Amino acid sequence: MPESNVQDALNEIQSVLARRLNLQSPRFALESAGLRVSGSVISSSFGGMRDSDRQRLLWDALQAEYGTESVRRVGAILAFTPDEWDLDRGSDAD
Amino acid sequence: MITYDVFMPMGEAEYRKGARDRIGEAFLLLQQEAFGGSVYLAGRGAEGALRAVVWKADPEIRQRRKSFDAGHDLRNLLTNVRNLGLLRTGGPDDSLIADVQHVARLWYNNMRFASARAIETQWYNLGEISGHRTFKQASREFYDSCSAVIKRCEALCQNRMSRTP
Repeated sequence: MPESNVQDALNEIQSVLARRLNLQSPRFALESAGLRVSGSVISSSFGGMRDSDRQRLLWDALQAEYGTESVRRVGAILAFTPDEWDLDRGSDAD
Repeated sequence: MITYDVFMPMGEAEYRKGARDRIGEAFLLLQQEAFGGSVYLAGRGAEGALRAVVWKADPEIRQRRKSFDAGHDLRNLLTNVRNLGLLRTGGPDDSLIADVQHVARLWYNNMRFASARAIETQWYNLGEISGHRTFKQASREFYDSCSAVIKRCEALCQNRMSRTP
């Protein structure tokens, strides 16, 4: 896939997730994995939710946008809270 | 006859991406109530994520001066991660340790050959499933534990170790 198309695909998935889930201050670390987009999304909106519930939210949003095409557009996206993602920033293990 | 290694050599990036794919596939199977496949793939993803951390943090493994013979025992892999000084016990990594223990108790390498019924029976014998706790509930909690392990390893790879040479 040409570089510009890859970036367009990443931007589109970010936009869809941020809009449909109304994510608070979302950050994304997405990459193209073949024809699919995979990676991580970070938002405090996921706080207090089990991972399986976070995934259900993500896939509900993607299916609402793309229908059955969603599994061909998206691989796996891990959903983090900022605390989970930033746990190691500026710190060292004992 | 000349033979070629047609398989991509494994390294930190491949282990990470594979782990992410496996947990993604495990969720799709969980939703379809295909619990045997879901728990097998989720556990394999946890193994791959721990392998990614060890690979990235151990320069001798990375430079292939030491073989990576951790096997498929998740507790051994966790010990390797701990020995590399990456975990903070008595704090934020206690939940990672608990999650790995949970997964390692229920998952085994030869689960790849096991029927869903065989896994359900084994989990029943381990007390993971009972009259009040279904295979579906146990599979969902297993997925959550595997996902937590993979996410913690992903954060370690992306943030903490990105600062190390």
